[in-house]
Amino acid sequence: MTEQKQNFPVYSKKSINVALVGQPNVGKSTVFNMLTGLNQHVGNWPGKTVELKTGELVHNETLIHLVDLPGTYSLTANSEEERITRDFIIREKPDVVIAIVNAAMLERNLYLVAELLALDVPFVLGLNMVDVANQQGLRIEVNVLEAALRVPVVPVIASKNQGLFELIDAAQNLAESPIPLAPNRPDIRPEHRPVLEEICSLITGQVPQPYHVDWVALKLLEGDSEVMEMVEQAAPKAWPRIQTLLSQHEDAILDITGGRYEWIARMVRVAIVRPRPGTIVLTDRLDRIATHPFWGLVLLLGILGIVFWLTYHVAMPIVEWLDSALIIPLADVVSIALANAPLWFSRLVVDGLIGGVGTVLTFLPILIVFFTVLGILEDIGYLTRAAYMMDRFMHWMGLHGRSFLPLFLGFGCNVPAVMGTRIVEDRRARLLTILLVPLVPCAARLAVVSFLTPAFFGTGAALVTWLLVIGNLTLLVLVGIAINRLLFKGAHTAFIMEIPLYHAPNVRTIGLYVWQNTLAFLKKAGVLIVIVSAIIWAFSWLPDGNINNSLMAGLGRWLEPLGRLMGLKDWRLIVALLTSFVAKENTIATLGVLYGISNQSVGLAARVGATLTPAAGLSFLVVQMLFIPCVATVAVIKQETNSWKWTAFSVGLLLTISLIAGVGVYQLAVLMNWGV
Amino acid sequence: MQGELKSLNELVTGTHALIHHFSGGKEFKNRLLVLGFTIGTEVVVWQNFGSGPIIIAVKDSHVALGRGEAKKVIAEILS
Repeated sequence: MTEQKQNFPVYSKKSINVALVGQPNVGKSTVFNMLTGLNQHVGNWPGKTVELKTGELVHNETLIHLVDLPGTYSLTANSEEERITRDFIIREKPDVVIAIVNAAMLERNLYLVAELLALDVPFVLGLNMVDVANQQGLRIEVNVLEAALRVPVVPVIASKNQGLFELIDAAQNLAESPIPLAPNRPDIRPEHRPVLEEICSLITGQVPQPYHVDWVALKLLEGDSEVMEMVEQAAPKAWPRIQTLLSQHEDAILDITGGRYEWIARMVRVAIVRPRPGTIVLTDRLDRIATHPFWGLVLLLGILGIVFWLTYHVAMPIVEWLDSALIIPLADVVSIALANAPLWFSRLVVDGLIGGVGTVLTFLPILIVFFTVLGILEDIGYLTRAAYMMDRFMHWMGLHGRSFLPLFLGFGCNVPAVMGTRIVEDRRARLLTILLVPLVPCAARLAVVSFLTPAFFGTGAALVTWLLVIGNLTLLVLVGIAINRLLFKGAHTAFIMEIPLYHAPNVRTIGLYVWQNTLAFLKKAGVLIVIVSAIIWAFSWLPDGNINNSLMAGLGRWLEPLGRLMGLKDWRLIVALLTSFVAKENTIATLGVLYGISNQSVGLAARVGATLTPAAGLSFLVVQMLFIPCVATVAVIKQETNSWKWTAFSVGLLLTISLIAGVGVYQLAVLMNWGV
Repeated sequence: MQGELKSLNELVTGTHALIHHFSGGKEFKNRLLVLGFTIGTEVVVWQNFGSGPIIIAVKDSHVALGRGEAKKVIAEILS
């Protein structure tokens, strides 16, 4: 049956385009990762923030181009993911679509299949996680299901690399087969057939290519906003009549979705053998703890504790080792090599560029630890439980539980926190979360604060530090509420989230997750960090190599009147804040240079403290805690929002907040005659 | 013989009920329908601690709903 097409000479390499679709939590990424390995490209859909993953593999001397379409529950234009998926299938017309379903949730997963069949594409069903279904006592008769649907069905256990060869084989056979499939398609309920027919006749000949009239009519009846817009423009004459029909049948969606599920029930009725009722599976047992209002919280805090423990005891030693084994020797070697070059050039390379590269490297071990933990938690299915647990607390800011995790990770470092917002699916909620992350004090800021507070406040240091952290978090909630009210008009993301079954983590999936996220940071944010580090270096070097006479010092002096409002009468403090843009811990190093004391020495904090009244010291610390995020954070904000406008907004927002807070704290202290 | 109609958030853990209607907006309704909350579908309240989100078992899967969302889904209690 699989005779070779005439237009393919035997020696030429054949290639076919295959699209991978599926609902969330069906193991689609595992299938994609197993098939393509490192042979994949991750980017964004043109003009979108949704990830686009493509990859290649060779199968039976055929080059297979694989596109991993975003996971979606349906093909209605409710979300960007759904629009991307259906536009790709309709417009790009892949040779074959492989739909992955989770055998343990067959009915719900087949909903997407019911929608796909209406698009009339060559289609193979990959029945994944057969092992998980078996553990639950579910048996699926593949042949029966295949006969009912009249499309090829291939059982797969992607995590164990079983059945994937057969799956691709089936896709290739279908692409090369001259006989089109005649799949069993869901039908609309009789009571809506007349209206569907009338809409069809109204739009026939007016639907733009490559859309099918039947499909467009069905989507109109479903109330799909994008299709409605399209028809309103394409068929302006028929539109008023269509609109009347649609308003008379507003409830058609209930029937259409209900009808699809009835069709699914018919398809699977004889194919599934269910366990006896009351079987308690592992997931239920684990969830007695993981989603319990008290024990779930204890578990979540325990896991977060482990994340921070790993950061401090695994990542940080590696960071220090990288610095002493790589960066410092490199700087030494380069200094010697450039001994005959002009001094400014050798300093630019050593302090500006190598310093910048050092900053980038510093983040790598931290990112790898964070993404490994995040990847494991996501893959085994725990992240949704964490989101469920935290939902009640995130509610007031118009966010839901998923935003909690990235915000909390911000205590370690804001950079992975911003990148971690990828787990928040809703775009508006994700943007709000990104804007809020810099208000979480990161480890570097806390280190600066703990270095300076003892000298400023003596025995009150712990209390002041605690108050500063509480102050940041209070501001975070207030800013969250304000942004949500003002910018997003109080929109609230509906919390509707599937709780998937737990399953064993897949090493390859997690490895690729860590690799891709780290690579994205290096490629996009890394370059920006090095450039900005070099620019900041230039500002503190030019014109004569002495930071006291530099442009940066000039800027600090120029800003002195503003500093005075905060009680900071010394330009050196302002410069220290400005250089913290490169890295938060730079505040200490800069103070050391400007006050002429090595930053290792305890004398530095005391010396700085001596020049400041307690009120001024407090305002300095408040500004330090709230100041614009470091360059690495700004770089990932740009990378993740894909917008300079929102990046500038974030920087401006924090600059405003920190200055107002600094002035406010100092003026309040003066007013109350405290510590002046 | 129709059972009592109640919002999902008012049902205690373990209750079996049939989805009756929704009081939310179009997009909200669509999302739930797609997840299997079609009219007449039997659901089980998997977890409801009286505050915070709840978990509903529907069509072989478990779906968490915020309390506000659960309030907008009206179901008929099965005894």
